[in-house]
Amino acid sequence: MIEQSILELINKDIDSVCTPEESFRLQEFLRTNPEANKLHEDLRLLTVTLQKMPAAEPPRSLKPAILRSLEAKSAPRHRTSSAAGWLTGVLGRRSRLSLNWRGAMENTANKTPNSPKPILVIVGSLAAIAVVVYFSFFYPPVPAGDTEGTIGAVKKYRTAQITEQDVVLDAMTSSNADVVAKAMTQTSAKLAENALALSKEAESALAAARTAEEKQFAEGALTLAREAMAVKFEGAAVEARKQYEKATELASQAEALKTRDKMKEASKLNEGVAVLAKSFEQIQQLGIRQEMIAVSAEARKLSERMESSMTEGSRKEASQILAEASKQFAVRGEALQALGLKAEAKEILAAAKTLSSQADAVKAGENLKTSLEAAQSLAGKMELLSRPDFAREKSAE
Amino acid sequence: MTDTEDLELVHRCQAGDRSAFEHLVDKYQGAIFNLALRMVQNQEDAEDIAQTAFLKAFERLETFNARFRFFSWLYRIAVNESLSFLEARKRFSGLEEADQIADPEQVDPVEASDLSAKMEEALMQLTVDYRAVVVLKHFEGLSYEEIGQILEIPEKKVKSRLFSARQILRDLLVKKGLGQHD
Repeated sequence: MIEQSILELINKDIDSVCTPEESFRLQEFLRTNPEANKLHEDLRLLTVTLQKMPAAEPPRSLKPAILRSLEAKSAPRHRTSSAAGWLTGVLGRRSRLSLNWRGAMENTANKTPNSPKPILVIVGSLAAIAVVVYFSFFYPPVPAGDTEGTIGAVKKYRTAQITEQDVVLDAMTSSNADVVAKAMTQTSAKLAENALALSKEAESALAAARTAEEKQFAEGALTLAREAMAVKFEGAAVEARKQYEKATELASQAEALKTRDKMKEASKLNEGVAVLAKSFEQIQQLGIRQEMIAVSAEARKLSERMESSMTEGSRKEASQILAEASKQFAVRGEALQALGLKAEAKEILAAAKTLSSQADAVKAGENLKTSLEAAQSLAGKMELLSRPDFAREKSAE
Repeated sequence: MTDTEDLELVHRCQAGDRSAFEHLVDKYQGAIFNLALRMVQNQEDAEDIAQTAFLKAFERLETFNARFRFFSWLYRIAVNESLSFLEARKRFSGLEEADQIADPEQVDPVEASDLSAKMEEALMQLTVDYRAVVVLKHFEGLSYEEIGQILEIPEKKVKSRLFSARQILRDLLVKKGLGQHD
């Protein structure tokens, strides 16, 4: 039974998301646990197989079918040109926030091009607006200078909204009445939608008002605009809220777009730095390994030369071999130390010292066999140091 | 093509440029079709799912949040379509999910000779939740985070599903006579 934490490490390793420490821990565990090692290998093979599975070519008919579906879907909604055209409308509305009422009305009329009697629509809309304006500003009549009148107006809008039934349209046909009702609804939505801009415009108008009538009209407009804002936030005008949310989202998208380039640049730089760091690490690892392999080969050569000199019984030669090897090891050790590879340098400098003392011992007449054993032990140690595991262990440290 | 270019295409679509959506279809039709194919293992169904996914993406472009990556959003739609399709198939035929297992011991070895075919068979024996994470991870090469966003589940759950799914797949393949490499 493999521990959960090890299972997790195996899976993370398969997905290449292990940290160096986790990787080292896992390798250590796998070395001593055949069951986990087998699972790791199986999952690795599974992943490779999955990734090698060929992707299918999409059918040629797919794209035309998608485009046909889009065409079919957008056709009934064709107020402008397509569903995307509707989106253009949405975006366009954002930039028309400062539309005045006349603009809003023109919009409303323009959005019903299928109507057989566009002039009637305009006239109907005008009538509807007139009714809205009358009920908005002149009903109930507000005495000049009576500021409470505006509060009354606010209450009226909150309690009883003007409905389609409030509009008397004797001279129109029922279909025109529908058109007018629609125009009214749209105009109300537009009022709510453009409330903020209207409020500002009304405030300006109030500041510029000269006569009492102008002032009264401007105050009424301001009240209406504020009321439209209130309606908007109270959730009565659902469409207005949607537009508001849409505008907010678009603004955040614009903001995201604005910062995206900078973030992308920063991300690229970060990636570059990470790649460089990784490359440096790999080069360093490779360098250590190559160096250790060379040292190991030298140690083995030394051991063989020692063996040969012992056979020949040349004490002088053996001493020279040891002294030369000691010098070479010392040079390598110092070089590694200069590179900052302290652990490796320490091992090799210690070996140089051993070789030097053995050279002295041989020269002084001690047993050649002891020196040979020392050289052989040294060669074994150096071979051990040159194994890939050693470099990895040092890296993990 | 980068995320920024995707975003630009999306904005062009939103502004009514139909050709921009065609570019997005060109770019992602392969990935979406293959995603659906891995999920349902049927060419025609996969084609239908891919078509519906693109259509829905087009209709919902206005709801796309630019803070996320477009392909993640599109993948989410396609995965949801695939899951709905499988759910419907299960409801109406009652056959599909009967084949799915959580315990590999219940599976009989199959006759398929080809490795890919065996792998596909094994994939279809996973539950749809497990299959979805395997497909997104190993065929689409997505990160745990991206998979979490697409499936709308926490990253931790993505890992746990993926790890379990892989072990089940491994056991299934061993059962089918593969993976005996030692």
